[in-house]
Amino acid sequence: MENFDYHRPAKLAEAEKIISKKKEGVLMSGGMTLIPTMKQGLATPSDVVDLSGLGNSGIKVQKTKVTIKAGTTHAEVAKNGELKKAIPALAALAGEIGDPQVRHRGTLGGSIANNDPAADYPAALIALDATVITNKRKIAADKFFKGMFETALRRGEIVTAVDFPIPEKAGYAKFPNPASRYAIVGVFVADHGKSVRVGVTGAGPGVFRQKAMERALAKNFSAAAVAGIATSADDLNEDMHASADYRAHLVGVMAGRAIKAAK
Amino acid sequence: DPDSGQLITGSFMDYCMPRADDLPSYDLGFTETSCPSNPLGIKGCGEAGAIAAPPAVINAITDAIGTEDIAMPATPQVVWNALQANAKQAAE
Repeated sequence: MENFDYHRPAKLAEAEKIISKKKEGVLMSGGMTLIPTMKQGLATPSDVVDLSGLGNSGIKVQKTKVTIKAGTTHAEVAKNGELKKAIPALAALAGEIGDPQVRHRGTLGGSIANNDPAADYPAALIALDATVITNKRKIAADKFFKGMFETALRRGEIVTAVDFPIPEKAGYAKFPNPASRYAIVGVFVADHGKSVRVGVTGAGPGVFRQKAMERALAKNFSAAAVAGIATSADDLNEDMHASADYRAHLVGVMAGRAIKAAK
Repeated sequence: DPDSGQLITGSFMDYCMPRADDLPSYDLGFTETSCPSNPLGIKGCGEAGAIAAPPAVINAITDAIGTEDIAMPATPQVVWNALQANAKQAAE
């Protein structure tokens, strides 16, 4: 790891000032991606701005939406009683991220700002039609995730919270990498009454919606409705754990499981 | 990677270190046969676990699928490929 200057501002305005001034600096939330990346020498920022000093964490459940602050850890999301009643699939998703050590450091804001193609949260934000709130504006999930490790965030823009509309029911199923437990394929299905949204992570370079499944599920929300729907293997990821063809197959299997588990 | 010799399980992100929750429960049994070729009757046994268990598992898989062609590691991808190949053969 190379030398860097460490900052832990207590106020958002301070964090904004530092990150705007230090062009080679990076923001850190839980550090569960940044720190290993720095240890491997793959990132050498001049400054690290630790956002944990902002105390920006918490979950608020209202009648039609849940607001989760960016600094909330996966462990907090997983065990929150009110969230488990409002959107159980979201709490369950957080409870399966990585392992206990990772869950007690990793945060929602950090995860989505990083946009790892195998992360779980992006599938949930897409399927739940969430809104990302930053220090500058609000961004719909459909517009937030742009590609592998790329988001709509601009330099100096910091995620402060995410709004999740509460669906009628939702489910998540993932086929994990046996070593890292990241999603080889993860499918989040959410029934919003008038429409259904299906978010797929892990399979491609970034999270995407399976629109054919959405249309079928809007007419009939059941695993049978999507049983015959194939996902194209074109442009899907290939690695030692799964080929593009196998990933395409897994999208169907995980969608079926997510639908059966939806509540 | 057979072409370059590059180690592709370069970190624990890809090399699956078994954890406590990967292990099933099992009962322990003991059997003792002294080795005749030395006065202590002992033998190195570091690889004993690798002699019986892998063939048992791979045999179970080949029996279930009906193919002899399964190379270790029998990852989900490998098993799925074998099932697809079998289904194709059965169809022809």
